[in-house]
Amino acid sequence: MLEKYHKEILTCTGCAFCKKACQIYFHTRNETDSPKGRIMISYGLLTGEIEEDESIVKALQKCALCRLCESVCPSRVKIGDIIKAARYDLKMILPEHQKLIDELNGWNEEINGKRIFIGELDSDAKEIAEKLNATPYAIGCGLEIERIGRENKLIEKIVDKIKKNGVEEVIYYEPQCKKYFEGINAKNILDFIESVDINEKFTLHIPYDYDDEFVEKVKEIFKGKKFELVRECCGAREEFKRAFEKEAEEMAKDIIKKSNGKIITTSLKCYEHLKKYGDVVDLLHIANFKVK
Amino acid sequence: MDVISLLEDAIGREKLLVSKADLYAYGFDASIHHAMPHAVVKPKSEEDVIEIVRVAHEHGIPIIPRGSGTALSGQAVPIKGGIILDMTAMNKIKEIKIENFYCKVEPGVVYAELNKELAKYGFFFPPSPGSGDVCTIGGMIATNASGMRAIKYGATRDYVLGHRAVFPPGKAYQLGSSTLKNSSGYQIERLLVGSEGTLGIITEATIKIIPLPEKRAVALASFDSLYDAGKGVANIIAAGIIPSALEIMDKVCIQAVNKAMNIGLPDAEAILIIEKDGKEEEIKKDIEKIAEICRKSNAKNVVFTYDEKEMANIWKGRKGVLPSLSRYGEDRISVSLADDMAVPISKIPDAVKSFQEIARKYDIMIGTYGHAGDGNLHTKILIDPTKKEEWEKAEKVVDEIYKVVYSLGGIVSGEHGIGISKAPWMVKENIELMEKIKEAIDPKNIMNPGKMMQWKGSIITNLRYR
Repeated sequence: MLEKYHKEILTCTGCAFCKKACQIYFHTRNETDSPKGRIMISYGLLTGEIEEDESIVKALQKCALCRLCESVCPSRVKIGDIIKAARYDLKMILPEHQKLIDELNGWNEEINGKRIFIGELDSDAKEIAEKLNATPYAIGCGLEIERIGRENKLIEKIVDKIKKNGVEEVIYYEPQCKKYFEGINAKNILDFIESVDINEKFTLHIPYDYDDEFVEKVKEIFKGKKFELVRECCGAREEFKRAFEKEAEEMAKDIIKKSNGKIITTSLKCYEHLKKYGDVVDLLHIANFKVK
Repeated sequence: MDVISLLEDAIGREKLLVSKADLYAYGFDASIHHAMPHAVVKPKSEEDVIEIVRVAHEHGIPIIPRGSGTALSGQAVPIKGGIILDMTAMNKIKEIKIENFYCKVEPGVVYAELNKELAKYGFFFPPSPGSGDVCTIGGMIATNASGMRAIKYGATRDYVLGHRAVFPPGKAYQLGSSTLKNSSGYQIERLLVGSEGTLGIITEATIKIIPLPEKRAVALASFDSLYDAGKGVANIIAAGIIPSALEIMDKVCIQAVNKAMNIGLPDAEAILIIEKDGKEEEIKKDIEKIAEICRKSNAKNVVFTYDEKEMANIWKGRKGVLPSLSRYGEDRISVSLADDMAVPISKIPDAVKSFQEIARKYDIMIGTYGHAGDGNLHTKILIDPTKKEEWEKAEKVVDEIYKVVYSLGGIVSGEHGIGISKAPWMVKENIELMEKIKEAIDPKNIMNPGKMMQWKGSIITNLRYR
């Protein structure tokens, strides 16, 4: 896959501006932990100058693919795509990642109900799903598998079951899941939010790789409220957290430190991770829904 | 014993990086070159640095000090292998003494982070290199870095009051002072400014700081010819106005920035970006005068702004020129060659005209931009870096560019330094004395060997492109 990105890699001038956006580099200040370092390592693999070993695999996987680095790259290099492509070409896999993939690909529950809510839900969120007359399924779309650079068999199973069992409407939360539901009546849960219960000033956390449409909808929901927007990665992504626990903890603590008062995050994954370190709630927990 | 075992014995395992990924990643800076070191060390104290230098000197192992790896001429590339000394773990701001106009910092402090701290006191360290958000103070001193505000505020060298540095065979010295004035013998602290790691390793720097200006304004003037824009620069300076920045960008650069960053710079053959800082009334008067001079120099349009957001947007475009050029050509990317010459300010129009002629002669794309107000220009050459013949052509272009620069009374590098990429065009008269100094301080030639006057071959070497 990397071959496809040859020109894209050459476009990187090595200016290192990307370092200022990388939460992982911020802590270690190791070249290898910077977006530039990962691009160069990808190039080394592509040209055959270096061969894969454990350190190369770790260097390429030690990135949550938040893509905030792309926002400061003046050459607009598709850093995340390059890293992802390099991961797909890797023969080795970290044991933590293999375990996670086995868990996710091994999922095989039945999906029933006319309207379903897909997401990694805690008990409160399950109640919300019920309020929306939706059957909750505590499983994601397998984005983790793709980020690791392997085939996502989980989503194939989910989509297959949705189609086979006559599910009429799918509700999801993570905006990246949208691409899987082509041809299915699927809606983001934001479409069901009527208002939010928050009056104090807060920090709004939206992962950087959530698309513009999602961000605009969230801003609309919080219109008139006083908040500061934070797009930095908190290290919550399952595959990252499992393989790089210490870094994930430091990244979460950073977000807490930077925040102004309470944090409202727009990702259930981030909520689960961040709440261990500070005053954090998920958007769904303060939202009032248009119940149908 | 191998390099890794020697270092392990000297400073312990935890400050060493020796995996394949580390050695490969640390072989790059922001230049066209690449080579692998034998080990990477991240010292945490001056004592660590002394130990590393002692071991390296004893066993004749090269040491290549580096900050964030933003050097553009190969200064941080370990072409002879050896030890990469990554100074970023020494990153404390040790003292800020407003009443004495200085601060003391470790070499790994990032320029922007220092200025963020200084701003709390209403002060700053002005050189503002383009890489200021990521580059380190140690790296700035080692390359005498500067940027767009050098016209008014000077370069890094003008702010180095003193520093501590470790030299072979492993001894630390306190050089210079913490006083604003110092006439107490050789200004040895200045010797390390621009030394590119070939003499010693800075472990603490005493930097002069000054108050932040009250206000800023920026004028943006567009021209139908690059030559007229160059004349505009000379006319502004001749009028006795000292802007805080005076930048030039040619059409290639304007289009590259607009394409890559969507900044919306005017569609013109060339633009000048002129910043004036100081007291509000003074700025207002001067910025209008500058606009008038630009119009008289055939500017087709001049706008100016006091709005912080608009100014930040214009500067974002200017700072993004270098990487944006990489997005400009369909199958060509920008490479750092002949990228940093300085000429007398009055010769700017002749220089830019000659560069355009060279580009036409060789049918090659050259983007010209830079700090025209202080005579420091940048040219970027766009090539397909995977083709040998393109590099050969580029080397000829570089040679012609430098011949023009010297004929105009200029110099090979204004702010990026020599490294490998500019080594063949250094002033020959300086080399003998530089070699004597180098031999006296570093007799075993362990400090960043093969760089500057020691590089004797073609610049198309150790290429990072395959």
